[in-house]
Amino acid sequence: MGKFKSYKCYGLVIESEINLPELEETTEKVQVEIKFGKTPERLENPMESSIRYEISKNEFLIKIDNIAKFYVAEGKSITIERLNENNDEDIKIFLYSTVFAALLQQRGYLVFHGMTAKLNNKGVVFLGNSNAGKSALAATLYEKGYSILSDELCVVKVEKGNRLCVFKGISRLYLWNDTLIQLNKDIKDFKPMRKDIKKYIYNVKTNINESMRVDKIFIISHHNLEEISTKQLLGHKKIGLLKELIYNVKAQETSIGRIELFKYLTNIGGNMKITEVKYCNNGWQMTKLSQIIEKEVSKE
Amino acid sequence: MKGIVWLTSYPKSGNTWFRTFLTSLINEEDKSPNINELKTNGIFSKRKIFDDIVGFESSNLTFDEIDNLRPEVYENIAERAEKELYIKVHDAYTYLKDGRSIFPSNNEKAVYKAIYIVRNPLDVAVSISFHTSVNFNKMIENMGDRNFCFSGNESRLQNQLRQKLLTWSEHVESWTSIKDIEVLLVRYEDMKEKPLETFSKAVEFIGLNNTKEQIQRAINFSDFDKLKKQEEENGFKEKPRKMDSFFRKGQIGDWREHLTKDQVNKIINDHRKVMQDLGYLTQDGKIVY
Repeated sequence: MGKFKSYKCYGLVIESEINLPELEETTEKVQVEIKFGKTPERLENPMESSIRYEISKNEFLIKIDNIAKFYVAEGKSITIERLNENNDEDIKIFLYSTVFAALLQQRGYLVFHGMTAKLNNKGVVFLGNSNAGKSALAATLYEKGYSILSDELCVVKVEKGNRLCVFKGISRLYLWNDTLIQLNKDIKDFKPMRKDIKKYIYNVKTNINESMRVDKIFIISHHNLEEISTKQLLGHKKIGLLKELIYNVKAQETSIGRIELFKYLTNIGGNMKITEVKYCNNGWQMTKLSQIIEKEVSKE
Repeated sequence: MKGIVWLTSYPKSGNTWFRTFLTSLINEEDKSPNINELKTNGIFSKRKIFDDIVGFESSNLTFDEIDNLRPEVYENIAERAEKELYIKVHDAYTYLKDGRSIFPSNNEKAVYKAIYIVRNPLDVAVSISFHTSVNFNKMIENMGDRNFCFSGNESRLQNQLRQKLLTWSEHVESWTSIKDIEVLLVRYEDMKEKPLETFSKAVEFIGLNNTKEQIQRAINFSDFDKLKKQEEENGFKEKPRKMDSFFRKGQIGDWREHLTKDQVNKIINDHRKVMQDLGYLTQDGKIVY
């Protein structure tokens, strides 16, 4: 059995048997435990299931073939069952994404596919599907001197006074080969996230505390037109789009309930300005996109 | 019984036209369907569908890991669907290392069929060159390369999952030789020249009970010129940015305006047998279309 260390992430203190050097170490009181062990074959009464996962109100079980099975329970514990030897780096890829998302959802957080940056002292959230360009945009903004709080998961909660807060996550981005080249980086200086995938670990440093208020939300997607377009979203369209961008919406709905989720999204939609940004991803657009984002943020 | 009808073709062979026809048939409206709101059920290689079903991001998997999961993903979709689904495919019918096909097989919960739409490779070469902004020589080379893929660039994340196309001939043979599921072969040229007969056969194969009048109306509403006009007025979301238009010409024999003798010979040399089998080349080597 390995030595357990404690880390801070998304406002939680996590004690972990698996080494997580990407997270900030802490000695605060532990709220979540991560350990290696045997996971259940199946959940007893799953409310949702698919080919590789099952969900009940306080349980999430997922299998990543040839890597690991993960069991998340009560928002308090994660059990990792290895399916291969010496594969901690592979395990962490899925731990930091799908598994942490399930844990946070069990604890009542809302989790989106998204990235969070601090621009001009404002908390800015960028939501979008896989391939929307969130990580490339994060790296572009970081290179310009802005802080990145998180990528892949955007974890929020409505705090007192209807204040939407976003929580600091993991201090790294995963960037594709082409993105690093566009940023004039030497691939040899970066470690691949997994063998046989040309996606690399790009570490970011931030001195932001655990959380900050969300001041602005952008939804990023593609179109096939030449120009980058921005449009402020109005009314019910906001809620529909926000829901589409929730990380594993079935897990989110199971954890907090469909009606609660609807209320949550209506609250966010009602209180936040949300801007839809569309660009064509044929060719490097991040420089121009980041300039447009800067302009939009400075308007507020 | 529910299941999936794969609407499958090598790229630029008439798949969108067929889907527009099918949408028109399903809609039963007195106008052409909106090309940006086709009522078929997406494309087999769409990344988001895969991610939603497996519960984690395909961008964290290798191409082969993704392919290993794809049959189960589509089985899951078919079994959960409330009605038959029509899903566009450009992938060749290929097999995984463990012998399974990348496509699910018929079982007690779902039945699968395929409509394979094929087009003269001489016209395909021209059309796909315009679509991808790749020159004719390179595209003809790609059509003869069994490693040719769509969305196969490993250096960036693409909207769709990798689609192995094999060579054009192998693509055709992969679909027309399978025994696991029923396949109806439909030629683009027959859709143009004998539309009522050709589309009626497809409708019967799918198992829909439409009358000749309804089929003819759907053919009229999915006429190429109407789709082209719609694209000019409202755009088409499936058009690549660099293309002037997705619905470019839609003609049989347009290759004569573009390909050199050497290019034509290269295509024929690479694909002679299949072209002859499909009636694009006579036994003594004359080009039919």
